[in-house]
Amino acid sequence: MSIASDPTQVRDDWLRRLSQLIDQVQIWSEDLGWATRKIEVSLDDSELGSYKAPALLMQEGSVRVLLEPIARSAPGANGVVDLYLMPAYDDIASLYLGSDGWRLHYMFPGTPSTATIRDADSKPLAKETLAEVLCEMKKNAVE
Amino acid sequence: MPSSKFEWMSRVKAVEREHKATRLATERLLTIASQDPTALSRDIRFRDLQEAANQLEGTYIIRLFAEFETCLRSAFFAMRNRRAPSRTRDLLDSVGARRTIPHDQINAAHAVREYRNRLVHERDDEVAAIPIDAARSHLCYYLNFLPPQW
Repeated sequence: MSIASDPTQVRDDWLRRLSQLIDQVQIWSEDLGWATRKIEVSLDDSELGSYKAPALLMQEGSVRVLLEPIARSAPGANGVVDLYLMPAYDDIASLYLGSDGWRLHYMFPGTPSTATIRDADSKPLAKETLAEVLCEMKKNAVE
Repeated sequence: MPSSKFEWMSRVKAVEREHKATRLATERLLTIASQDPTALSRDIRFRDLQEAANQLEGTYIIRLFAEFETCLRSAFFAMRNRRAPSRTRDLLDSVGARRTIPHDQINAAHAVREYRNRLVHERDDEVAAIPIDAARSHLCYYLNFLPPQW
């Protein structure tokens, strides 16, 4: 067995990437005026077993959003994290980890609507793209 | 068993995601089997597959509600240190009163419960069908009023 296929190492690597993502999104969202709180969620993976992973709650006024890890493995991606509108748990956007980093899949205003969020246009995850999504959430809550 | 509100809400959401995946797989297989009947094994008939597709959402709503109800029973026991009411209707009302959940949210959860009952007992009474995404939304809203941990 190669070191890369060792489930413990794969899981540790995935958790390290998740922690970096959560830390980065926390900094960006706080810069954007959102209050944040890290929480822990349980994941159950057929390859990696059961483990705890970090997630991030973000709140601005009455709008609450959850960034929640979903899976380490997905076709064409090395990890999936979803963004939900809380407390209803409505789908907002998904983040897919590719060779070029995290990409944000979201039905950005003015782009064609798609059957699933994965089919939606994607942009590299950056403070600006995150701001665009969070701003839309706030706008929809006010309307 | 989890004792965190978010873990339970996450479990409810996971059932909906699982439904989406199974829906996609079933529809793909239906398309393939309608063009090539040999795609199904001998003991699976096309009609059975169609029926499975027709019943899929109801099946997952039953599972969705089961996660919700298990969470409520666990939270009730932790909050009151006694067994939860056996009737689910009473359980929803009791937790709702204790956690001062708005009536709209309690009624929305009851609507899902009544639809679940219609599905389980195959009753033909006039209970409105609720799409799975709306059911998940109603139940998660209700669960959000529970304490973060118990």
